[in-house]
Amino acid sequence: MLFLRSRLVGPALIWLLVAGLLAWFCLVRYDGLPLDLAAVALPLLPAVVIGVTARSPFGDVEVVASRPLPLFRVLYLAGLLVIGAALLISAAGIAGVALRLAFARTLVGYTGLALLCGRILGYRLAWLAPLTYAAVTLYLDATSRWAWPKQVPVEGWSLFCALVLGALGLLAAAQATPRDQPDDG
Amino acid sequence: MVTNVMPNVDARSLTQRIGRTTILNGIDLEISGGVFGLLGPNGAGKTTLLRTFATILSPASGELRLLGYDPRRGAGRTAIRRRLGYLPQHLGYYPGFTVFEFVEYFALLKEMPNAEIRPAVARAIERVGLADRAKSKLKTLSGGMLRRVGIAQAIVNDPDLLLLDEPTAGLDPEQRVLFRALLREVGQTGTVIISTHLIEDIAAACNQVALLDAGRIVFRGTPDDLSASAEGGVGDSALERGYTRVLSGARG
Amino acid sequence: MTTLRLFAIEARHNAGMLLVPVILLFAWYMLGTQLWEPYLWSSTNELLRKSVVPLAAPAIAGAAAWMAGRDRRRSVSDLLATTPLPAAHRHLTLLSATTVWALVAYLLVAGYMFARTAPNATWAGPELWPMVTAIAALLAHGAWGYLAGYRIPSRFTAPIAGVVAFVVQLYLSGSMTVQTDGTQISTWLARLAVSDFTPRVAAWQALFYAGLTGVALAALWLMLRRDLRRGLLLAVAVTSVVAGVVGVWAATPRWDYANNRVVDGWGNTIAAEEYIAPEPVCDGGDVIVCVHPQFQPWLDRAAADAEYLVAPLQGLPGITSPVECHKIGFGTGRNDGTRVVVDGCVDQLVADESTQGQYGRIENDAQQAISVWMLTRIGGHTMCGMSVDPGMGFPSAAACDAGERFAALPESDQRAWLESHYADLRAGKLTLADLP
Repeated sequence: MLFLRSRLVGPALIWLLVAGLLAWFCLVRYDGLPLDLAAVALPLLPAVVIGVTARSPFGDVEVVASRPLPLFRVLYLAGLLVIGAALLISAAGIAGVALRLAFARTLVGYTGLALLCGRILGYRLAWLAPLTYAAVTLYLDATSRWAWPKQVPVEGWSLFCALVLGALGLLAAAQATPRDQPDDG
Repeated sequence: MVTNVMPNVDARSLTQRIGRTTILNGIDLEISGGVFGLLGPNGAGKTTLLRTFATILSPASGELRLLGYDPRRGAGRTAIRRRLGYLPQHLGYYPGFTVFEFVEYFALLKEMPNAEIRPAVARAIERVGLADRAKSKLKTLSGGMLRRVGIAQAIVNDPDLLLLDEPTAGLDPEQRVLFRALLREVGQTGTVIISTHLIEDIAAACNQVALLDAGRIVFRGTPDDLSASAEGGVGDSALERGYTRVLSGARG
Repeated sequence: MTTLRLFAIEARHNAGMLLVPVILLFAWYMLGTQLWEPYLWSSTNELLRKSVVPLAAPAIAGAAAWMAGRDRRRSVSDLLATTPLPAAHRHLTLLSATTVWALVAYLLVAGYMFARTAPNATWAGPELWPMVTAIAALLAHGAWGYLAGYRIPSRFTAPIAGVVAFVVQLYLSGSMTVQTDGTQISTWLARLAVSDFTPRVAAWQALFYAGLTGVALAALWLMLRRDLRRGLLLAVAVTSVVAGVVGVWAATPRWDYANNRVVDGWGNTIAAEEYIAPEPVCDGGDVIVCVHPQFQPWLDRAAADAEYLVAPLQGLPGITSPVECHKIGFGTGRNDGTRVVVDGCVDQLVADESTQGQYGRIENDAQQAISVWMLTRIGGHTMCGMSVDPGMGFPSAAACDAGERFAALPESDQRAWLESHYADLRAGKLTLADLP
């Protein structure tokens, strides 16, 4: 529990709920919202929230802990991912929009990008990669392989990209020690 | 080069508050030249006093004149800052800047004459023993080296009033010896005020010392005067014993 | 000199520098997928306006917000407060050093696009007003991003500033209203978007963005210290913004249904045709084609394609000499380069104008069938096999089948049928049963 508190999981859960409500609101309020735009934009906030929680505030003290912290990190990050996906899927379900799988796919991919970016630039800058990717994807042609967040309905390639990114991101976050977290100012 | 004018810190009934909390309570202090040490326990108000002298904080009440100017007036504040050097307790820095760029940056902000900037920056870096790391990025430096960079930016404009808050934190003994020599050198032409917890810094470098407790000055004199008050105090040296003795006396 | 040296230091260590490769990469991708070859000024100007600036503006807002919060994030504020250089001077230098990178990227892209277009284009030139607006908009986005980052020096202010700027531009550009006939048109608000260019509105649009920059800078200046001079500057900047908005609203043309005319915001009539079509360029022998002068590089190809289209009908009653082919189109594909499209000429060849329906639609099945044959022959789009509404002028399944059967006939049989039936075909007197 203290580990989860150190990662600000409580506030993260609140923000995930906010993201879910925002997604539902956008889908219901703007019923003409293009599905590909929704798939690209709405999973962004929950992915950033999850990425930011990967930051360790303790520094080197954590390195010498005897508990298996990499496992803890994977578990809580995966847990947040499941909760975030569930909230987005619920929002799509309640709004009656066929985006459940697309939301889950894009969230996994963006979270992977956020965690990888956080590993390189620092977790407080985890938002940079998914935001940039989403912005560029809006301009890409939907048939482009790079535009996997935009593909609705979900196809094999987009699912593959998202899963690979998600797995790499979780792996990078799990085995990152505080010394690996660069100064992110 | 800034010409040497007799430096002057003149505070009368100086009071400083943060919110409803009184941090400094009626400080009377006059400092003319040399190296002046500020001692005191945590929370005594040393940093707040230095920040007030550094013109970061405006006094809540009382009178203050620095280098002959009133820091409450815009023109006076600007004139003070041109002849001021300040090293805060927690030095912030830009990790991507090199040592030279960081010191040059502050030289430019101190409105030094353009032609003098590069030689002054090089000299300042040399004086703190970082000439071989001038092109290194700040993020590659150790904590002690960063402290020395902070000292370099504080002395780059040959200030008439140099304020240093915990300047030797993170310095190794050799560096501390060199730093004290630097202090004595600067103190010959200007006024240096250092806030420190290290008694040996006071003993080695300071002409005058004041002891601050709960926002009030409870002792003012020379380090020898403080050592002479040692009887009944606790510590490993006469100065430490004098320090503890005066503090316990002030607290009743 | 001090300012220049400070500027140089700040520019060297600036998040704005990262925008240059991002903007250049993005522009390279957009040019690769959307720019015609050889280049037209119309498409170049539009691409620069609609693709590069709407991405660069939010990006610079984010970068400026990041740089504005730097001093507080890095705990350097105390140290900076002890320096004599005015804080406003320092902030302006940092903002300039950040924004300059976006301007550099934009000007590089614009320069490249203009340099590629100029040697090949045969009509018009670069639009300068949209460039003025783009630069003003980039400065405005940078200034507002900086203000946000200074006020809230969090690491998350940067992405939020970028997203907000993007959403605002999206909202402006997508601002629509429904007309009495049910169609949607852009409102005057859309004229404020960076991607929009309406000639008579352009100066007001630029004033709007310049005023926004002034408001942000004046507000920042006031945050540093309040005095009357700074307050007056804010008032002037706000006035500029209001003047810009009112100017855009007033100058935007709108349709006055009651009086059947185009008016401005004050109700004054705007000249119906402010756009004077340029003299077309023509070419051809038996078949004459005329195109807009910007398509002159394709004129020879258009004439040859039109001649091939008309060839089976030459000499038939009702075919004038020379034939004037009116509707020449130009299409583009990523790998095809520019395609000349003479499909539009088919309608005038198979049907007299009196038999054509609304908007020139072909409504007779027999005429549709011969259309299908002609389009198949030149590799055009017949719309056969697609689920489209036949009432929209598209061929029915039966017409498509008849057309395909006609196409399968020997050329001599096709010619023989046309010689005896062409006049009736054009007059709309034939049915599918009359086709072989």
